[in-house]
Amino acid sequence: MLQFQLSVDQPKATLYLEGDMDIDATEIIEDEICPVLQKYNFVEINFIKVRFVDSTGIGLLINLVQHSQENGINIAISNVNAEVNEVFSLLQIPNILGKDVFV
Amino acid sequence: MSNRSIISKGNNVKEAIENGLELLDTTKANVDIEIVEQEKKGILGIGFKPAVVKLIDRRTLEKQHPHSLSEDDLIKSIFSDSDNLIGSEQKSQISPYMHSDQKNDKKFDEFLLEGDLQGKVWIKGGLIQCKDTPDRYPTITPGKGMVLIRNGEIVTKNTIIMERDYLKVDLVDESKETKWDIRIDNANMKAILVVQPGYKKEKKLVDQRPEHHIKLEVSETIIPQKSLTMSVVLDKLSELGIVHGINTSEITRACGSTEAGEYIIASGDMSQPGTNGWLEHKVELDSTIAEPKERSDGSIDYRETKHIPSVEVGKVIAIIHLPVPGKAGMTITGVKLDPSPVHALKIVQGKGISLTNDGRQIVSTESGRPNVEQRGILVKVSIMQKLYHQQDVDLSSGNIHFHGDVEVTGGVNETMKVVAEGDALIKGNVNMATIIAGASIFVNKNVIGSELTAGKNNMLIADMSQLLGEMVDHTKQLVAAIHQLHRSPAFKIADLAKTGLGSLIKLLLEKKFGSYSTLVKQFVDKVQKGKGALDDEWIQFADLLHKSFLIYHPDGLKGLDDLTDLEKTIEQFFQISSTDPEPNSSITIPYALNSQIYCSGDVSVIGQGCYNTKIRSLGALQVKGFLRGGEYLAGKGAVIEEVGSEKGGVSTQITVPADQSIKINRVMEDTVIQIGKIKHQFKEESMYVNARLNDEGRLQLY
Repeated sequence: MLQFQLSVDQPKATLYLEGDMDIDATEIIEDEICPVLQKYNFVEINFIKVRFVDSTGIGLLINLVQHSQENGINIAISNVNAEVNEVFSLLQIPNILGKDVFV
Repeated sequence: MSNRSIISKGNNVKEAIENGLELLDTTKANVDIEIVEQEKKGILGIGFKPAVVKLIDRRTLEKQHPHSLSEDDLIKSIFSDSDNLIGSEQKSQISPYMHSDQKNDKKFDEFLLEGDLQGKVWIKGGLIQCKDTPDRYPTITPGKGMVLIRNGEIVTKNTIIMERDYLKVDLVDESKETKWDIRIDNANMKAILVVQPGYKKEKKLVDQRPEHHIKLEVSETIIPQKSLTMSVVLDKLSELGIVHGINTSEITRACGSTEAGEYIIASGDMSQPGTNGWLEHKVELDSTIAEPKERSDGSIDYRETKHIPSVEVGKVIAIIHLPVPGKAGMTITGVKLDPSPVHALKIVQGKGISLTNDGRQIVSTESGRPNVEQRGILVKVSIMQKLYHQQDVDLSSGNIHFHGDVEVTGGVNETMKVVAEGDALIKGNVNMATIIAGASIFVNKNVIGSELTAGKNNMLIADMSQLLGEMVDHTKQLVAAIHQLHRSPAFKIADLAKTGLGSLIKLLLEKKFGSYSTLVKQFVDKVQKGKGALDDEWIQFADLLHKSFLIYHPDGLKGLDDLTDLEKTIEQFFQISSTDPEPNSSITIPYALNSQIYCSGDVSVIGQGCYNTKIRSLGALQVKGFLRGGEYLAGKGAVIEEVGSEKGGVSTQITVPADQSIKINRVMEDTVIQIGKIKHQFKEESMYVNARLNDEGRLQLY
């Protein structure tokens, strides 16, 4: 189950994710996280405690980032661990979201 | 064992002794001196005689006296020791050795005995021997392939020799080791032993008769070395891992050979191909076209040119033969070579046929024309019903669409259309109309301003082969990428069970396989366009691709197994599309004007010819009349009576692929022919042109 914590330092917010970014996280991401992020100009999504992903979860992440970017929010993804990063690379996520999103 | 002695001369005794000691390189203490003759002083040099002394060296010099060896020993020592020393005879008498050989070389020795040896040099048994006189010294010239050493110095030019000289001839024996190697071809089907047998070149001074001057000559004897042995070769073979098909008799031959050569010492067995399943036709299938009959008034009757086969109900149309597997082969390294797999025929049952219980016979359940379409191992068999339309096709009759053959007794008029799944036979004129047939089209009269298409599905399918080929490659990569993801420890696959592969494929197609969706879209569009002409299986296949890769429908791919299945299906369709169909379509017309004709098989123009017409034939184009203006493309070559127009003006172009030829009996100026990428325009009228590309890819007209 995915859990999150938001730490705000206006105008920047950091979203700490913990758990698996998978199909079970659909509602949390779409209904809770996404609306909250739209209030800030800069958002860093910290992946340090995300250990597993699945294709649905990655789809949700792409939607989240792209939707926020359309709203003019600067999004950065940080601290992706090596295993998850491998999955991202295989799917060429950095190419989809833009390489500068990953910090 | 004998002592060395020399005779030395000088102006006086003292000088003679000094000369002698110098030559012997010794001192008085080592020699016994015998005064042979005191000098005589003459008057004004006349009557002068030098002093002659004999110096006998007390040191034993066995080495310098090979005479004491037997001849056999001597020859051996020459061969085994190239540094052999040849001593000159220094006694005033002939050496005992020379006498000892009388039996073998009587003449020579007799000559030596009887002849005048004074001042001469000769070679006997490889030894240089001479007899000098006070007023004449013999001379020798060293020859090629030797080093002549006289008294420790190398001599390269003419030189005089004296009995007391030490002569040494170095003859360098040449030898070459046997060289060999085993080459294996890329397919591991052949091992070739390449041998260059070694040899020894033995050199020997050639015996020569006594002469005042001789040129030393060397004789060479080449002795081949058969040093390669069977066991060495076998060891090398096993080291190379060659275990199968070894030919020992060839190895024996190679080992015993004295000349360089290549020997196939092991050969693998090729696998024997089997035969795929095949269909034995039990009834006549092909429509036969007879030569048009000439009427008594000289005009031609095109009506009686065709015989169409038909069957009754319950007739065995064909027997299905099972595939026969091939035989496995083996490489020389013992790897088994499986024969290429054989395939059973895949029978698609069309209308009006049924299979017997054992699945081996195809039987008609309706009467009509038996139709067999074969593409690789895929065979579609059906009975074509025939529609007889006993009048013109015009506005009153409406267009004709029929799942079978169509025969129109009249003509086809403006804007009308005839679509037949089988053959279309039009007995009248086709005027500004469209005729489409799955198989063949026959028109007995003129084709004017019309479009004729025969075997359209075949052309469509052939068109799709490139797209499908690319899809096969991309699908393989896609499957590989998914497998790779599955192995990633951080990747969960639980969601795939709920949502199907859709979400994953969407991710992959988003970027990594971006071009894949473009391919699929092109393919699906093509199938959509050709919907009327293509079989249902193509439509279903395109639909599945659409669901799986374009809209990620949950009904598309449910799991990895579905994707693997789809991969196989794509490959199958690719194979189908890249296999040439059995030619089952053709177009036969007497005359065409301003028309367009497409055919997946042969096109025959059996009457007057074509004006300003465009023909695209995947088969051969045969024209008994003329082609004036227009474009003519023939996939399997063209044979034409006459091309172009005498007045010029209209351009006519004939095109065939690079491996085909164009034959024209009479070609007018300005006609363009194209073979492969090479174009040629005729500048003047030519007769009996046979154009093709030669081996260098150049156009040849003759």
